[in-house]
Amino acid sequence: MAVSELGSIAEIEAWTQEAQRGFLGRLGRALWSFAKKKPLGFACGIIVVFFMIVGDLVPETVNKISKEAGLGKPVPYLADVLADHTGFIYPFQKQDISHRLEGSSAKYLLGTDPIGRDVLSRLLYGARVAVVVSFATVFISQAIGTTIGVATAYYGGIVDKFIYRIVDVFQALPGLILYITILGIFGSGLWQMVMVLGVLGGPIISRAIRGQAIQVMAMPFVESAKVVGASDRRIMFRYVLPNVFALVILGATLQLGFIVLLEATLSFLGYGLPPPFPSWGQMLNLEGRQNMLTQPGLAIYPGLAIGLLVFAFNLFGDALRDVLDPRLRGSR
Amino acid sequence: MLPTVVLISVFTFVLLRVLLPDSIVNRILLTYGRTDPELKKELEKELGISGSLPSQYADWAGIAWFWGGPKGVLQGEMGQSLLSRRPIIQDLKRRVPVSFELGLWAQVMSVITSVPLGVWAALKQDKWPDYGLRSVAILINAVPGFWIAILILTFGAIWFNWAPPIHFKFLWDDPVAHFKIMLMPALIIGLTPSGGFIRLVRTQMLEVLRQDYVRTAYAKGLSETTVLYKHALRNALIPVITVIGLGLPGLIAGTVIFEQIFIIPGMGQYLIASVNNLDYPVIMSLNLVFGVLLLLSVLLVDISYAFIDPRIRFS
Repeated sequence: MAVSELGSIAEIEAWTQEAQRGFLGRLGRALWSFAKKKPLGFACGIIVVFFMIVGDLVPETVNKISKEAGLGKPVPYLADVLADHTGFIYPFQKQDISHRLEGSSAKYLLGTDPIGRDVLSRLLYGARVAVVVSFATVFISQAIGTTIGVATAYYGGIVDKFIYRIVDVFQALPGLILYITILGIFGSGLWQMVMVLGVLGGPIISRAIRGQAIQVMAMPFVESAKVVGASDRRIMFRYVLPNVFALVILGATLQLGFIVLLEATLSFLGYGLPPPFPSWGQMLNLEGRQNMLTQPGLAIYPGLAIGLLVFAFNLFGDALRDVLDPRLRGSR
Repeated sequence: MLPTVVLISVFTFVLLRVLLPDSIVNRILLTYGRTDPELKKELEKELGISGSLPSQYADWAGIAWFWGGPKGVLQGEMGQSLLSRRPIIQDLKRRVPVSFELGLWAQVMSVITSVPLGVWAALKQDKWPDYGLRSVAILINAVPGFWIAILILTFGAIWFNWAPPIHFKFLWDDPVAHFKIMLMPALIIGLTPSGGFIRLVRTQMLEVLRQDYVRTAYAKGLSETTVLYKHALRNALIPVITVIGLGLPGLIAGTVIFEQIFIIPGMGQYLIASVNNLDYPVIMSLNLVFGVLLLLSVLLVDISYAFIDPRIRFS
């Protein structure tokens, strides 16, 4: 291979320098170049990280896992720590009957709801539902979708036909109808919602991944791996999966905002988390709709929070797509 | 398409008839503190869930009718609601047109607003109308439709002393009042997909305007409107139709939500009421009807390709 095909000597030197850096150094440089190329997308990424911290994503996941495994002390939630140590965040259930339906004041920054609970604190706790549900759902559905997509692309034939006949059924039933039916009948909660949205969303996502995986399957390196005698599992995990992974990450970031909206819709219709634990959609329905004339803030702030989070997810996903996949640039 | 319909019916049947009635029976028994199996059997008989599963499915779907069983879905008989004891088909006849009309209006609203706006943004590329419309489109994508509805209800009441009519009027009873009720929800349901449409129409228009045949059309001396609307727009709209087809589930979801907010007696309201009352024959029928309606609408969208895309029409 001639040098000219690779690029100039200076470029090659830059690559070797890049490779010599540690992981953190490379990560930092990648972030910096991302921030330079896509300032708005980077800012939205910061908002996403902010919501992930406020939404207690890490403690919720860690505690869930450690509880299942039965080990260790639970990690404290940020919202609980703030409620204990600051003057303006209160536990989500704390009622102050003498200050009902008030506007914003120094004590209650965004006012209070009809039974005297602080709106800002409830928004903060509601972030947990939005963030945990969206990330967990996307994780589950992408895992299922990738498995189905790669497996059907690899085996093809009758397996492929049979599975996509079933996927057709999932696609033919309007999502929200199915979610309302299942969650309404069997009862809802944080993890029920994650399971239903994640498992039913997976097959639908798998179509795009299957398309990409079929393209990868046609590549010479997969063929040579087969010739060398690599096992099915090895080809799928070591050859096909890494090559569709960029698509999976992109699909995941773009799906996050959609799931936040879906969760808010379900909570709004009353099929989300049961009260008293707040979620944004539920706050709009239970408190916002009934007191919109006396205290319009109750109908405004939760919607703003939903809008901001979804906006950040969407723009971050768009920017990530532009950087990762130049072919798709400007297609939306 | 037909196998998909059959599979949908099997899926809803399995989901509801297998898992739910059992829990209804258990709930009733638990409420009265009874555990005797005779009562359980009697209840099952009354709820119509005795017998083996395949025979139940044959009864429900109306396959059994061909060898002398009761009428089923195939014969247009969906059983009756557990709550109101009315035949479900009678309720559906009243409610399906309302929801369908709402969805249709919403679709029309979103297309007639977003296509001209998208074209405008493409013509003014990188000027302020373009930036403004693109920002609006991104904002619309991020904001939940029901929040906009709540804001409109709130500030409509506070500032203009306006509230949507509470009592629903059917089209054949009072057309003017009917459209007053339908206008606002249709606008808001149509708003949600139009963010995506504006962006799509814009990029497609930009793509098409760069094509050789558009330049040729200009060079022939055709007027600006002829080139834009006959040569460019029709070609730009082909992918938009695909996206309309993909957006139909979202539209149905929209009707469910806004029927709830604006108190419109359509299928969505029926679904939520029956889910809350565990009225499983109704839920089952509604899932089937929603699935079939969605399939039919997708088919309609596919057919409409032919009207827009000459390559299909003449092949």
